[in-house]
Amino acid sequence: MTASRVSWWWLLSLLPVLAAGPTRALPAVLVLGAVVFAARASSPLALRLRKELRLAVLPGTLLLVCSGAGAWAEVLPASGAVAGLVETLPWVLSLVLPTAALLLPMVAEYERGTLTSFFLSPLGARAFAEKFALGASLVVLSWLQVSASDAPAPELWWLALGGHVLALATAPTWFFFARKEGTSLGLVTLTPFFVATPIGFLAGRGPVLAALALYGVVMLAVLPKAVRRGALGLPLDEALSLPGARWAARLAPPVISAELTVQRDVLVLALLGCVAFAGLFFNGAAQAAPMALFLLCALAASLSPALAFSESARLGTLEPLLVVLPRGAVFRLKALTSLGVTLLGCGVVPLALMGASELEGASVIAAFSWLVAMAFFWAVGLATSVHGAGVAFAMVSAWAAAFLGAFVQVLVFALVSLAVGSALGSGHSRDGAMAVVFFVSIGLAVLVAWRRFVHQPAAPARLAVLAAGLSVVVAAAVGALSALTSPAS
Amino acid sequence: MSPTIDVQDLVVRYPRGEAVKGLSLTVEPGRCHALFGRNGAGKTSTLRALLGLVRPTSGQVKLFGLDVTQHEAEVKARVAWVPDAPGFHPWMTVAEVLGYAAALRTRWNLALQEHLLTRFELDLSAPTSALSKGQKTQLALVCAIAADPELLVLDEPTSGLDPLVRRQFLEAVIGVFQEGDPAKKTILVSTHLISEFEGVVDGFTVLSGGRAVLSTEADVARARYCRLRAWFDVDAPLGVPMKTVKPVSREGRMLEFIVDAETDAARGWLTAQGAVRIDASALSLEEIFLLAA
Amino acid sequence: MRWLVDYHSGVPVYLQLVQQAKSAMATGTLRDGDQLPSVRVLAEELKVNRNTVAKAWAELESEGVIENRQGSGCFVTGSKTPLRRAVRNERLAQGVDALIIQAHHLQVTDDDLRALLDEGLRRFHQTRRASGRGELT
Repeated sequence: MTASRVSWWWLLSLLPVLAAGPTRALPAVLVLGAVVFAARASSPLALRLRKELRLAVLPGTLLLVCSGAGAWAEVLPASGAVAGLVETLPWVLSLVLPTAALLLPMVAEYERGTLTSFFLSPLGARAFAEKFALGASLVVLSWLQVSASDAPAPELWWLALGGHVLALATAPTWFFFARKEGTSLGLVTLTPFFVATPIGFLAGRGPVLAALALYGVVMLAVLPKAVRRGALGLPLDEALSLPGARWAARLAPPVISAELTVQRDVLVLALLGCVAFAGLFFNGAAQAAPMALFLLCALAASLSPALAFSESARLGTLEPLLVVLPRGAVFRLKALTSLGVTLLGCGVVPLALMGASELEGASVIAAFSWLVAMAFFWAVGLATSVHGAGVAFAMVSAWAAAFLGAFVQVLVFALVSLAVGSALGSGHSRDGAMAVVFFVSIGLAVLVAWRRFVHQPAAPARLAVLAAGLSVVVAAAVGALSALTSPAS
Repeated sequence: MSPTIDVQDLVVRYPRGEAVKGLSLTVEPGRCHALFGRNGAGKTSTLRALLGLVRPTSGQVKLFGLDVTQHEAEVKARVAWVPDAPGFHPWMTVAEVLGYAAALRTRWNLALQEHLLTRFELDLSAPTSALSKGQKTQLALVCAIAADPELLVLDEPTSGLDPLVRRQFLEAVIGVFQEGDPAKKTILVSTHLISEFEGVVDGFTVLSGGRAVLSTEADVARARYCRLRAWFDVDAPLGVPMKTVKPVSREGRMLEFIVDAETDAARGWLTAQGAVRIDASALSLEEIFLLAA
Repeated sequence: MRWLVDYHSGVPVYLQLVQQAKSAMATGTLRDGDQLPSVRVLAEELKVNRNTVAKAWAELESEGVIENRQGSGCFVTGSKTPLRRAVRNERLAQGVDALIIQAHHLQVTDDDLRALLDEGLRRFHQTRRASGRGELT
């Protein structure tokens, strides 16, 4: 990405904020000033700032767009569960994205090995301060945006505040402890989790507990393996492994077992989503609970193929596999294992949990559409994380990128469903049309992934664009057809 | 019998440019062929096309007489690869890695695996995340050789390793891999450490800018290029009438040049010119590479 | 015996091994019935291709200098064959050529060279008689 394109991304994500009113505009103007200064000036400070903006462009602009999503719910014609999702989205995402916006640029430097230059530089402290100042102003701006709209539930307000405060509170410590090893990084990340959980239990503050549980989950999921490993001197990977997954891994042949172990973290994420659900449910936030569970399961579902393909490309285990097995066999092995894990961890388990809790929300989101939605997230994740040549993922880390990618997906999913839903009116025909759209999208996404991975076309991006365009056309056709045959009541 | 490797007019194009621009390469069974080239010369892309990791943009890649993209399974069952930075699942132990690798193969030589493990003193219960770079390469070699392949592809296998590990690696390749049926065990190696493989390679190809600039037998190359240094009583004569491959260097009474294929003629000429001392030394493969690349 | 490979000599590696084996036989380092190192051991030791060593041994075998006994290795046999004399002469001729060239460069006359050679031979036989048997290899 060129420097000018980075600036444009920032400007685009800042535009709605600037238009939103004086309270939010002030910090937005500060960030805008930084972007313009970095793009125009040629001083060393501008150079450093340009680098910081480049590193933070993905999590930063996503944070601004998501935290401003509350405003869209007012603009767009809202209907049913989808509108609720769009309304809830910024609040739930507030738990994760502020931390990501602060930490991912840091992790990027850590992974590229450029962090050492900070510690060797006499201006290191200043550079750190600039890094933190940029991240902190983004977090403050995000909070101003989120809090400008009404929270659907008071718990969500606490959740969002918790996410923003925790990000700000842990980020400086990150900067101080970010030595060349990941050990202390992991420690810092987990400390608030360990400290606040007992307090939450004692004080009986459900939202605090739920917020911290979610925070812990997301921290563990979003941080690359290098950082997670060795926190508190414990091999976290081992401690995290599910007894069930281990058991299955023992029984399965080595090839499947290795795939299952790669997918282990998806199960962990889905399971902890269930824990968060239970936390919210028993603390009286039953309304928000299914939504939180849906979000976490959707994240886990779209993370699954990224783990299967990108993570193994990052580890260097994908190519040895491709050298000994035909490409088609590798694709089937990885995709099917991943789909199985997704449907089990993000489908059967949470559905059983919601059924057991006799929650009203569980009937709203029918089991079938839940499974189809999970398969949809999985398929889109597959199409985006597979890459033909199997070269190392160029992003910060497959993990972080896939996770942020999942957020974008949830967002796009919400918007697409919103648009299609309002276009088609209500009733069974709408549900049927939606199902068709989803099935077609799933099929197309798997096809794109297959083409990209097995046949390695010269321009995979063109194919992806083609498939995306095709699915939009299909969606529009289905919408028009339904509208004609069954006019909205 | 068809050649083990048969590449014709291979072109590998990435979105950012062409890495291989029309390369042809033939390696007969049982031989050790090396690809030499500077960084970015197209060595790794050529290997990746051979291994089926990247689809050739155009041209034909045949292994054992079979097209790599059409007979994927048959070809892959007979090939093994040791990359420059082998990757393993970090939670697996050495024993698990071997079990995993064996599960992917149709053939697995347990006796060979045991022999190599003892040779390298690898601890079966050690997690791969605790292995050093050298041990990881050794483990990758065990995985490759134990599968009993006919073609062993080595991509910069010994760069960044300590001298002892490099030596053990080479000894294992010579002693163990080639042991089975030397007439069928073919090696293709891409390396910067040319002197290390000097005696092992039968033939080599020097790549530059995605093309083969020199492809020859090692012995032929060494016999062809010769560095001659001659001293005269008076100032050295100007101009050498033989075919030389580098500018002639002339310092006072001393004359130095590298002659291409005409060593005897050059010696005769020097003696006729009244040289009082002539030193001749054949070029090593590394020196030949430096001339060609 | 110690096997050496010189990549700067311009002589193919397998031929170097052949020459070394022959000269070792000529000088008595390798005697009738001595076993040559196995292809694998020598290839590993010298870091050369097995094919190279195998080719050298095959060359020696075809000349009748060594014998390949199935399963137990290669053994020297050729001490009685007329080949030995031819090999010695061939090898010596190379040395003599080099000597003549050097003498020419150092402007030593042919007579002086012959005198030096006689002197050297005389000294050699004296030493040999004193120690009882040939020590030079």
